[in-house]
Amino acid sequence: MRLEMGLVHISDVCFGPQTAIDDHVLFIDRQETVSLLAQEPLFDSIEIDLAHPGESCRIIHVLDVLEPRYRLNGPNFPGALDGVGLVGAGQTCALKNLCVIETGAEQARGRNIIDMSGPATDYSPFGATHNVVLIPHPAKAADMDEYRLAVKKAGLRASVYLAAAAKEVPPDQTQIYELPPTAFNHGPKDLPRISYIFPIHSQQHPTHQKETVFYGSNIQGFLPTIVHPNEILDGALMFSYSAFTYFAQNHPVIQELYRRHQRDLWFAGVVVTVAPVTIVEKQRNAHLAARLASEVLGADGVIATKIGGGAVDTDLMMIYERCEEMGVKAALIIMERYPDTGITFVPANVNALVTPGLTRDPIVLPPVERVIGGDTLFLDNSNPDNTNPRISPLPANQELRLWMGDIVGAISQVGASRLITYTG
Amino acid sequence: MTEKIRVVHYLNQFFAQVGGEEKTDIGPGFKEGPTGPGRALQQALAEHGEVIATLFCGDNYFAEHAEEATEELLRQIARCKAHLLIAGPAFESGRYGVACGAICQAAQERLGIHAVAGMDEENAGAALYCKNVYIINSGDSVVRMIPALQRMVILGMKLVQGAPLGRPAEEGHIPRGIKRNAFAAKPPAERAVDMLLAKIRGEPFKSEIAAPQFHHIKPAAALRDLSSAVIALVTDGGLVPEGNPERMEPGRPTRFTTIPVEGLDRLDPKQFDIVHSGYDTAFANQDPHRLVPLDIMRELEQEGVIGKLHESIHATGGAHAAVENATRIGQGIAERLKSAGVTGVILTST
Repeated sequence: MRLEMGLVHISDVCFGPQTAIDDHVLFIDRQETVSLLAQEPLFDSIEIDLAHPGESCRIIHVLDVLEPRYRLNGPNFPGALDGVGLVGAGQTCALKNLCVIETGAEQARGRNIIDMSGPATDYSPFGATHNVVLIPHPAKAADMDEYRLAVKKAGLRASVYLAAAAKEVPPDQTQIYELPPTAFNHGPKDLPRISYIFPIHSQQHPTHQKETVFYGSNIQGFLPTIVHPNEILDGALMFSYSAFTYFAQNHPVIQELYRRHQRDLWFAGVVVTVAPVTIVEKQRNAHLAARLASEVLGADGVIATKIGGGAVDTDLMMIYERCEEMGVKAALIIMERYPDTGITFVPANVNALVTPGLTRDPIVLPPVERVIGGDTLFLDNSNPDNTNPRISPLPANQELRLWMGDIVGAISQVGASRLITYTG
Repeated sequence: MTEKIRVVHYLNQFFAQVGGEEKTDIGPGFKEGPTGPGRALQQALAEHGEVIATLFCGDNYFAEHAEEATEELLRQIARCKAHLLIAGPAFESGRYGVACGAICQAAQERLGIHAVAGMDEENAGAALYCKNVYIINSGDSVVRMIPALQRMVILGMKLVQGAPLGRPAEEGHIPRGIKRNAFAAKPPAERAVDMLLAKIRGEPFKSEIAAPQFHHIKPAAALRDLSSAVIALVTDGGLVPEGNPERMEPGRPTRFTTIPVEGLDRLDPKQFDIVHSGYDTAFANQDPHRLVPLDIMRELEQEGVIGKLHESIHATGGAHAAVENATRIGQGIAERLKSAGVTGVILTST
């Protein structure tokens, strides 16, 4: 299966008379975009704003981040936006250096922040991209869970709408993602076969009935299954929480395995699974995922990552142990959350852990001139853990004392970050 | 921060110029402004801060009356409205070093202010307090007084301003054993593939996260006779009195609370709250018995199934507890229960 990703580099974005790309500048017809997205009955209205690298600007209440994509010969985000269909083969246009940022109202405790200048840009890729920010205001009677899903859908719609402008533009670069069917191709004998076991969600925060995580499925009761890595890159997956969809579209582990495919390893496919809530389901999914990697994909080694909080650490450790029991070597990417807690659930035989960083590490963001996505944050600057339930909202343009994990894109659980940890 | 940082300096009786060995029994004292090494401290602070007061205590007195001395010193620090406590440097003096560590830790935890101690890394106080207190390694010689104080000020200012800290070697402090972020040469996905390939090839590799060390506890023998047993209720599900007057942490607990329930037949939802960051507390808030079965235990007590229900519930919010803190909380609760004659415990978790 072959996916040709045509990359169009965007050097600037501004509002213009019609949505088009001219000499790497994206012009956006603001009115047309607003009318397209305002159809949603759960929105009272929607605003669109732009943020540029280097600006004294802060985007708050970020819900998700997308790279604009348009598929030339098939549905976009099937099941979530377009109807049923498949992705991962054919040609897709991608706008590089530009992101669609969804913000959502009413996230009283949400602190996902992007700063377009200052120290946060040392950590997050989204301070260096031109950002098209959606600010949908909920209708009065809107159910807030459904509103959140509508915001995510509006993000997909905007992403497809903007990237469609690249249809007629010759790509600056074409990235080929191609793997033969795993069953027929064993690759060279001397290259280790590496698979990726990818828990895409932890049901400790259950998905909404109407949520569209994988090909439009709410993934409740999901069992481990083999997918082609191209499907993850090309719009089959949008994260529910705890990760940003940009990192599915630009999945660091999948891209790394592709980069080294046929060089020092053979990329032997992806197993997608979820972290359920009961111990029996956790054990079953870990068993099945490891079995698929071992006996169906024929993996010599497995990389596994997680999405979610501390509860899913147990699933990850079970996957590790089941793989090793089946003779498949394993390495995990697992985020550290607290400086003194470490990772609580680490069996003694688990010896290959990679950290994308520590989320509860303090960072101070200087005041900014402009804030997009709201005016205030529920934040206690003297106590970023917000252990005091009765804090009053803080003007969001002020100096903020936050944790690294509050910076959108600084630490991605699927293995994107510029960080490692040390013992201080 | 544009306002001057208010600094309190802690010294022993000798450095506070109260007296030498003959004065080591002197209790806590207070002097306005800087004293002795405090002048070098003020110079290091320059225009950024002001040494409001010097606190001191005799080394022996502190060693023998640690609790009272700490209480008195904390009172003084609070009165000064200090932002930062600088203690020492104590160099190789063990009793002085221990006092510096103790007062810094107490000030941090109980007053919520920043604190930096100074002492030699071999000082007994360093081993005791380096995990919880930033301790500048002053070396063992008083000749290093000025550079040590300069280091302490640089670190203290960063703490007050919330500025990022460098590695222990860069800041000059004794490592605390806590994780921090640093920039990596390669992204995590690449490091993970490198590590996996090394593992497959049988080459050396090093996990970036070490497994925690657990101690195995031998369970107590089963109770033979429930009708004479004294049973206590303990939970890590975050039960607190309404309004959370003790400000119990909803996660990462460092302490537990004791809730008297003598004479109570039920936990009235209006009089209790659930404070816990790790689960949906709505159901336990509706009816706290879903977390702590006081109602049923009272019935069993009245029916004579159990001898007696212990007079208080101990509770903490167990999400993301550091193993060390959880161990300390557990020991604290167990000691109280044991000395109260409790013979069995029902632990409810979430």
